[in-house]
Amino acid sequence: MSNGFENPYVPAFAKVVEVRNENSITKTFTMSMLNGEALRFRPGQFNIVSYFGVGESAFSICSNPEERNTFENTVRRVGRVTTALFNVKPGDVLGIRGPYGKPWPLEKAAGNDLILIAGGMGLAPLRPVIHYVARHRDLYGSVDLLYGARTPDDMIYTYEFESWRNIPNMRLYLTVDYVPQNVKWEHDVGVVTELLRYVKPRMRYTTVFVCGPEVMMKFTAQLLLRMGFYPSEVYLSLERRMKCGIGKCGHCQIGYKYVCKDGPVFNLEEIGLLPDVIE
Amino acid sequence: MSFIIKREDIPHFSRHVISKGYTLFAPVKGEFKHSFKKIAENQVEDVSLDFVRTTMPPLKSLLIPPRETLLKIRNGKVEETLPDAASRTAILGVHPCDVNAMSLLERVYMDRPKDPYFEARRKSLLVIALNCKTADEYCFCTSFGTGPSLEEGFDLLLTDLGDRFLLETGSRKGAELISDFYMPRATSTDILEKDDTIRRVKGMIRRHVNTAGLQRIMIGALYNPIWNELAGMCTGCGACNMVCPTCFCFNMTDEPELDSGGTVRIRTWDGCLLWEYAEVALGGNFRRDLSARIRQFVNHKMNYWLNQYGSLGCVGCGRCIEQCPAGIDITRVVARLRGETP
Repeated sequence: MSNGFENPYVPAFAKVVEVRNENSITKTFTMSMLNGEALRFRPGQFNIVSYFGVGESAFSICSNPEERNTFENTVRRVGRVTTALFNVKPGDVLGIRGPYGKPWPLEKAAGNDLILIAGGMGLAPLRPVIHYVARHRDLYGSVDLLYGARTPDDMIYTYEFESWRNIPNMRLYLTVDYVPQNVKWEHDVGVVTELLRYVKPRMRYTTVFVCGPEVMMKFTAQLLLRMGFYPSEVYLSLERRMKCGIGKCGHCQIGYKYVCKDGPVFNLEEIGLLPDVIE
Repeated sequence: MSFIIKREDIPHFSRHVISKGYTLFAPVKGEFKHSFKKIAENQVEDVSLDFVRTTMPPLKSLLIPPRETLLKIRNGKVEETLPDAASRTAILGVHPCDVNAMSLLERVYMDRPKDPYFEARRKSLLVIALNCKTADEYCFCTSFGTGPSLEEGFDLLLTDLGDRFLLETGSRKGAELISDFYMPRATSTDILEKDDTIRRVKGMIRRHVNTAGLQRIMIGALYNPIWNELAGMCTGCGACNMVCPTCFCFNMTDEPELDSGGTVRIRTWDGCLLWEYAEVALGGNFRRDLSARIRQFVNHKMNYWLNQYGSLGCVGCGRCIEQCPAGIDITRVVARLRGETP
């Protein structure tokens, strides 16, 4: 570093080693750091990916946290940077900053049952949780994953569902908003909150992690509170516009919280009184 | 240590600062208002210390330029374009509110991880502050203890005593600068005269924010109809963000570098009043309504700052009030929420 200052804006380089199509508008990129170091992260943290010349965007790190050689980001094509990333091929080099943010409270939840509730792309930050639980199965009680998407095609990581179902004492409940003609669907149709009827939580021994569109999280949080969960037992992973990732650029503020450094994972107690959140 | 510098010696003093290797910025009288300008050796006669409040460009530009290149990326290499830490910049004539605003910016940018661009600029900066000798209808620094006089945060401090200035040192850097600039010592009469001046200016300040228990009142007012009412007046232009000496938000974007085929990553000022500020992909916007954006601006200064950085985020400089095309007055907003005005 020049001038003796540590520069948090300088990205490291990562090589794309694999690109998987999740669906027509979503890809998962497997990457490894060019310097050979592992990107050590905890489930729920995010990184900032640079497509040089177009810009940076923040993504959940969605891979197994104990896989040291590679890490993954799942990207939905929704804007300028993500459209550029869609053309990336194995061998291409991207910029990486991070990992950033507060992870899911997996240590605090140890010994508890887990309910994981995801909407659409919201499954991405929960996938490392599932991988972590699979490797440390004795640390947690039962695990229920409730996953909803608009259509069956909008679901991501479907190729792993079978192995997730085989994790002992883990159940997977799926729902979609609607099923297009000629598409086979053997699961529920309806909003993801309806899947909560399958779950009989052991109150005070259960921790809930939620990630999805803001409106989905709003209704999920309301229902969980009605079911008797304490706000401190329900964690959400929030999305906000982010530029710096280190609490300087200001964009991700919700009330006095910075989503990038105080979050992106918050419990309902922390964000309950803040404005501009799940209104 | 306190000294006396004659009014007519200010150009000579400015030249002395330049001769010590500093790039000097000082207020210059424009057609209507004073603004900070770079002062070359042959422009020292233009330095004018008779002003209430400077106008564009905001002084914070010297610490966070409105547009700044952070990185150059070419041929698989990232080059940091850090400011030269060895460079020396002096600002002469900074009023207490603006000195305090720089201290607030430090809390944001020097909080870990430190922003190395800000750090380099701050470290190369010498602040020659100027206590206020007058105030106008927009000033309300006394509400926050950020003026009209200064106790710390300066290298040198001037107080206008009419035919002469009292000059006090606040740091070793400041003392070094004047070590070979001859000035007579100040007397106790000069100090008393300074105290009289400050007292007189305090009495001129007519605008106030009552900060007692303010945070609780602001939290209680998050869903007050006043935000919708203000949205009916506000144009969302973001002028308040731009002129505010404590507004620090920025955007980061990539641009092609035409000569090298590489990329430059630049940052530019951003402001929470602007529509795009909280926009995300697919047209999502967490503060789509102007009312939410005004609420963010006012609450950030008068509420959230306290949790984030340990003090309120306003220094009472009055610029947002003076510049607002809709006549929105943050002090009146607070007074309304406190039930102090109809």
